[in-house]
Amino acid sequence: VKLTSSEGTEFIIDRKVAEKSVLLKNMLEDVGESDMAIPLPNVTGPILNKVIDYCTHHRDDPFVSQEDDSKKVSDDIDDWDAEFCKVDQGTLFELILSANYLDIKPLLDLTCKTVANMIKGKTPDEIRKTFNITNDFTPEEEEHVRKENEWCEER
Amino acid sequence: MASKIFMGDMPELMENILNNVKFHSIYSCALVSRHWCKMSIPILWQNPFTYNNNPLFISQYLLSLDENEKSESRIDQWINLKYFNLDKPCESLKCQIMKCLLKLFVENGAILHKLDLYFDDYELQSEILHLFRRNERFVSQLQELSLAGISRLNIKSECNEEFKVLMNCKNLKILRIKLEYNGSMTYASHIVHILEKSGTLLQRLKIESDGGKICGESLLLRTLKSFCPNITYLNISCIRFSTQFKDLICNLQKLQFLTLRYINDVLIEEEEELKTRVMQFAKILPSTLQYLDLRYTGLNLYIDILLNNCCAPLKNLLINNIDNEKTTEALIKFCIRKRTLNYVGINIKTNSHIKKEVEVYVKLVPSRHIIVSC
Repeated sequence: VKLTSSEGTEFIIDRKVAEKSVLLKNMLEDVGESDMAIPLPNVTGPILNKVIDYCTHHRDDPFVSQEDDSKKVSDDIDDWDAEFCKVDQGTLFELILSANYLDIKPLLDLTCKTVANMIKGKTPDEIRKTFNITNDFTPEEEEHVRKENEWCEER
Repeated sequence: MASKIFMGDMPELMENILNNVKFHSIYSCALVSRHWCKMSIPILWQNPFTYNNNPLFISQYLLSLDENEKSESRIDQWINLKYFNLDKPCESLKCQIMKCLLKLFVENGAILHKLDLYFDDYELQSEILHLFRRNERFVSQLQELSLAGISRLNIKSECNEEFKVLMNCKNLKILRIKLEYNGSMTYASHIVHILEKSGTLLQRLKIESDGGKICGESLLLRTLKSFCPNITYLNISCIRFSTQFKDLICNLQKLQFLTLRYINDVLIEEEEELKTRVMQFAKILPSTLQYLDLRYTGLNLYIDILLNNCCAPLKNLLINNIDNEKTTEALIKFCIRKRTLNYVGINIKTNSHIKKEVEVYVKLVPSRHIIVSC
């Protein structure tokens, strides 16, 4: 299967690897056998490279259905996946967007869990610093939210 | 520059991330920015009790709700939450929840129509009754009341102050009271006040006692006769076939369902005297009566006398078993004479010969199939 990234870089991968993406799987089923490259205008070359790495490593994993999201724990990431996610923040968010676009649920879950782990245990201010978020609360609003939700504050 | 995921462009992705964040960190997320707050609050509030089993948090949680959120539907949701399915049941948590919920109901001016109270814990029951006492409106419109464990309240001839609030219920249609057997007797005096207040409105009454003698039986029967003529369902335990009891039954001209348990005469009377009392009782059964449950009366040996003297158009009769010729014969005669009996519910399986003989006239079924509860 031929894929073209947003810059026009061509990637040739096994059909089995490509089919880890629900988007590609459906496209391949629709068009049948073809030599035409599938353009992926929303995915850059380096990110597509990472995605292909992921899909190749997990090519034999069983298919996870959309409904099977009962395991919402962010600390069940295996070593290979953890190493895979050791990238800069920009790449991590690009991976999330690409996984979402290509519809690769295990990769989406993995990357979202990785970001969730970056939030874990941080104060609001630390979260802002980590992700470069501006605090747009007025002091009154912030106090209101704090008061309204203080019942769930960790003791 | 923050990722567009966190700026509001891709809410479904942010939601996916936040769904993987542990509960306490979600609280931090809610305080990051307006958008983060908007995304985090629904996650924080969707099922908070799953994550927190510290009883203290519940009152804080309830206090933090605004008026709209204190609506009944919200309360229903809480009750459906996982509190009561905790892996390790936490009694103090349950008590705390119960108190908080009741307090919330009361403070919101709710008016209760149905109340089922089982007093298991003295401290808790006092608190609950005290809460009712301070907010009499809350229980003033009760139509259905079930009480159990009330002897633990230490109310004997005079009820304690807290309990009085329940005595003031004037609109009860259904009353179920389980008197706890306390040594040798159970006390009925506190029921009397409730019966007097609800009077003609009362339609269904169950007074259950697990043994002993009802102290104040005479007062109870007198009150029922004078104040509650519209009872259609009566389930009463530990009573005697006294003249007063027969007068009461005779007076209940709308009675359709009658269940008797532990007739005390069985223990104290001579056989001949008992037969006479059963016969008299059978004769006064009202013409409206269609359901009679005598399984736990100890009168199984006298069912033939009862049936031979009964004029009530019974549709369902529940007895312990049919194990002798006399009962079989009386049952068949009753069926032929009245032509109303549809089912006989029995606790113990009847031998096939008797079953065959009886089922020409009436269907025999396990009693659990035809029991009518109060």
